[in-house]
Amino acid sequence: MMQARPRDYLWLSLACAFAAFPVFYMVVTSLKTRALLYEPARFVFSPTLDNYRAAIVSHGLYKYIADSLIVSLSNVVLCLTLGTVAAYAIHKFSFPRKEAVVFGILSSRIFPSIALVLPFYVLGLTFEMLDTYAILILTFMVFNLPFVVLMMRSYLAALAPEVEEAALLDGCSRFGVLMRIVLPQVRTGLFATGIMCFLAAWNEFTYALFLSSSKVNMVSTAVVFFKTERGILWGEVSALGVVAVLPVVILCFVAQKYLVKGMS
Amino acid sequence: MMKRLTPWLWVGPSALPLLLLSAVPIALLGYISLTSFEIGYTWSDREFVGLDNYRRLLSGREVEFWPAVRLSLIVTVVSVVAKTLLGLGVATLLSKKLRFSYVATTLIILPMAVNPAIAGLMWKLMLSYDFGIVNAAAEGAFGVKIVWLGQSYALFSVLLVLVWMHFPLSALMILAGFRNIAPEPLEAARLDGCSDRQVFWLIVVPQLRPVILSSSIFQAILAFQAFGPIFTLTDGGPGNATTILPLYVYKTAFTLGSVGLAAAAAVILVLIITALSGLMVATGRKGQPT
Repeated sequence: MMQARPRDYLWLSLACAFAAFPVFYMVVTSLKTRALLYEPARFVFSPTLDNYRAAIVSHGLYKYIADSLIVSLSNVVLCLTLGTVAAYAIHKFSFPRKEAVVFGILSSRIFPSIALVLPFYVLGLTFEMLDTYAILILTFMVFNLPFVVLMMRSYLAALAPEVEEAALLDGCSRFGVLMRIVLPQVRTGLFATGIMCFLAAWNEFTYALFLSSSKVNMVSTAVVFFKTERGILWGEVSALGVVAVLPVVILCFVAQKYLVKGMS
Repeated sequence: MMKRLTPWLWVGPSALPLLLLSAVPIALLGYISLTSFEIGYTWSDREFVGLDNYRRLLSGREVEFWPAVRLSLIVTVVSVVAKTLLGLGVATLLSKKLRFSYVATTLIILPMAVNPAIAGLMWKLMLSYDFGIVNAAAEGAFGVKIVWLGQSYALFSVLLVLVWMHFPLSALMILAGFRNIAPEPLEAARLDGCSDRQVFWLIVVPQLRPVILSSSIFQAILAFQAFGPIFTLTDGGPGNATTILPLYVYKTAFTLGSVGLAAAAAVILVLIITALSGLMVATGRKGQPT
């Protein structure tokens, strides 16, 4: 590979600073009292948790967190189950127009959410499903289900078929093979895929903003409610941002080695 | 008979909901774009207006449409070039296996973890004229303060945030490409007296070409549909200075309430993104070793 030079460290540090500074600044801001917000360059002060208390308790953020968890986890479980079964079938069976089906499944991911949200809104209006968990769990399948099929296909392709065939000969059903033999072998892949899906659902914004309003609210859309007549409540927004990014950072940390493995 | 049906029983539970969730809405979107449906009315109040909405958009009678398309193109081209160059630079640095490169990777992928809408708000705070950290630094260093979210710099700020959000993805994709580079030609070139710069531009970059190309197209797709961060950073403003196509769709549908007209603009957006995706599939096939 290319040789390392001392000034590489300088450039890499600059890139890291550019990437990480806004997140660091968000954490700093969330710990400031309101008066300190007007001193942007002040990084040394006695931190307060008031913003977290205000955001989570007074503004009812705990309800947003619960809703986000319900929607994201239900969506992930649904997508992993359906997507893995489909990926296994695509991997094992040959059937007419298979390529067209695969293309159809994968291509539904490319449609921009701002375009799909219009018909979803009309459908939600017609079937009285706006502002429910169901409409978010279902619409999030548009981007997560194809992703599961895509990822699980690549993990399944790496397996050796001999054990499965032996089990089939011994009278195990196809579904039994999937559950007892295939899934244990791809569990790291399944895990990594699940985490990526969870993050996509957790951070989704467009559907969450326009298809739900008062009864169901996700953390990602809560930012909108911190815009008051007196301006934006920066301390609370920053606290919200930290709360929203925390599960992501934890999961990324856990998953990093799987993710890197999956990308290559 | 049963045997022929089995695969469908397996694929069906995925394919069917996806059909209902993508093909049906896309068809419905196409239909809405031919109606006068507005928010506040019931669905049965709509009127079929044929291609009127498209005529209004394309003829320029809706004066904000073409500027939105033009802005979308500018944002896409500029941000893709910036993300790709930055991604290439960072990937090159990370591929050198410097010390702490594990920590550096973790820091660099942080923007991908932040909710796009919250990212937009954080930058809005940092770029604030009176109490933003960026202006505090600019004033300290150069004695000037800039209205980052005003008419002249808002577009630049939007580009900055989009680059910040998405360059880590380019870096990761290109870094993965580095693993497929054969080390022998590099060593041979070095023995023949090539400088590091020559090795990089003449041997490394050409080998990375397929992955650079596919990451660029993927970034173009992302840039064309960027919505969350711009929604919170500028809301398309001031005026229409940062109203790119997705913002135009949102404003027309949910602020003005003209869902039919917005649907026509959304159809145009879908067509552009479909074309870009087709391009990506085509170049992806070409780039694969045969």
